This record gives sequence, C-alpha cells and structure tokens, in this order.
Amino acid sequence: MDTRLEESGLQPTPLIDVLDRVLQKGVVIHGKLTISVAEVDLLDIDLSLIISSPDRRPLPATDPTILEPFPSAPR
Amino acid sequence: MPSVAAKSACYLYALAPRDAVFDLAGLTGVGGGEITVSAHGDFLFVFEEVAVEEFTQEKLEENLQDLRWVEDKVRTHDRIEHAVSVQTTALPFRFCTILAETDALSTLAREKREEFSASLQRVAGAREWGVKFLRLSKKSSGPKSDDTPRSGTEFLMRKKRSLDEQTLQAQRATEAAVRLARSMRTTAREATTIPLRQRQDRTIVLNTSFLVAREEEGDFRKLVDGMRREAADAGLSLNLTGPWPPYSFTTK
Repeated sequence: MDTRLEESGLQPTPLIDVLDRVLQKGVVIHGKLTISVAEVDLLDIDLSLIISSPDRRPLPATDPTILEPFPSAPR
Repeated sequence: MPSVAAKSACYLYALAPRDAVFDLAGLTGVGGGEITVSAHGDFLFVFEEVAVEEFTQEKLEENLQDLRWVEDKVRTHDRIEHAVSVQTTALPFRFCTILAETDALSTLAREKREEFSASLQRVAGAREWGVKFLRLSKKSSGPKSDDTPRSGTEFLMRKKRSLDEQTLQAQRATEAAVRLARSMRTTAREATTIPLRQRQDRTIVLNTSFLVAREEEGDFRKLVDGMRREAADAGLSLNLTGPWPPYSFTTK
C-alpha cells in the first residue's frame, strides 16, 4: 500500500526516486556509536539493474555551480 | 533461524521531538520486527532491533547486489519514514544507520542535542516535494541518415556537428530547468538539488527537492502544474513526487 500515492494522488513513486533519497540523504551518524555497516558505500548498487535501457551518452552539464541559484543550497 | 542469544543492534529510522504523538502499530521494519519508539533526552527515537548478522559489512555488500533485496528494504525503510512524517515533524535517518546497541541512544541524544534540535526546527511543519526535469524526446533535425557522407572526414565533421548540437540542446534544457526551479522556490521554504548519478536515465537534466510548509503545499503544487506548459515549450517535462519525509533537508 502506497500511502504517499493515496495522499498526493500522484503516480506510484519510482524506485529510483526512493533510492535517491533513502541512500544519499537523511541524517548520518559518524563515529564510535555506529557499527561498521555505516561505512559501506551504499552507492555501490549497480543501477544498471534498475534502469532498463541505460543511455551511454555523456551526462548533461552537472556543474555544481548550478546550485547557486538556490540560496539554501548546500555547499 | 534459532540462534544462541542472537546479538541485536539498533536500526534507526527517525527522530522526533519528545512531545510528539504518533502511532506506528502494525508496521514491520527492514529486519521483519516491530518498530519501537523510546524517549531519550529531548527526543523520541524510532528504531527496530535487528540481528547484527544480517547487517554486517560483508553481508550488506552482498545484499546490495541483489536488486530485489534492495527494493524491498529501501521501500520498507521509506514506508516507515513516511508513516512517521505524516503524523509529526521528524528527521529521517539514512538507510542502514545502525547503532551497536540500544544503550547508545542516550549518548546520541546527549551528544547531538543541539544539532538535532536545530534540524528539527528547520523542517518543522514542512515536507519535501521532488521535481525532476526531463527532456522530451525529440528527433534530431540534422542531415538525413540516408545522405551518405562522401568521405571519412565528412563523416567525422558531421558527427562532431551532431554532438555539438546535442551539447547545446542539453545546455539550453538545463538553463530552462534552473529558471523554472527558481520560480518554484518562491512557494518553498528551501530548495536543493539531488546529484545526477552515473548511468541514470540521460533524459534527466535537473533533479530538485523543495521543502514546503504544509499550508503552502496546495500553492506549490498549483505553481508546478502551472509551469508544465512553459516547460513543454522549453522541451521539458516535469515529474512531481511527494510528499516525502524531509530527507534532503537534514544536513547543511
């Protein structure tokens, strides 16, 4: 059951959008309190499994300065 | 699997203010167990006791190669974050944030008190909405393909021209996306971008997230929908997702 879907009336949330947030964002705890698992690079996941027809062209401009229009963007 | 006193670790989902009220009855976590909420210091921690063996570095690396495992666990993690965040202001922890023992929660609450409080204040009463800017597929208007080049040099020149044109189109699409995203920000509390991944669907030119106060959500969605026409004119389609727990607004 996708409660988000029910609430927003939007399409079912694609896995890639969930991965983008759950694996890359959220509070991170560093240091002695956590067990070694937090050190694993979660981005190791082979995303070619998720994207059915990966396009091999070079990525469009990903210049980090693109963030600058947003005053609150992380540095 | 019966085991000799299986050692349990503490899989963290979320953190909420101590006076928050929410109900997670009936939910099952990534380890198949029930979700526990307990108060430490100024906060409520939402966690699950999981078997350490299931989350060792070795085991995790192995599991991450299994897409079915990933999808199941990641969606479960997100479902619990969502269940908390629709009921109260909360901070979501990253996937597989695991403390060696539940006792560490008190230490965590004490050591990170100011940081957690500031982060909770930042996202109070707001949720995250995602907007992806995708390039509409358009056939190239270059030379006809049955027009065979007369030489290798001509072939290479054509190829270069075609690549230049693609690069230019990509630049224009990105500029248009940034312009639209800036306008969307006017009804949001904050905005940020989500890095594009290697091997991601190459039609994506910009992936953005907005932190929107609940009372502004209607206006924000209206604004985004109102921009679809302008986006289409610029060769872009908009993909709206949400509401999300404030994943993208938990760190500076």
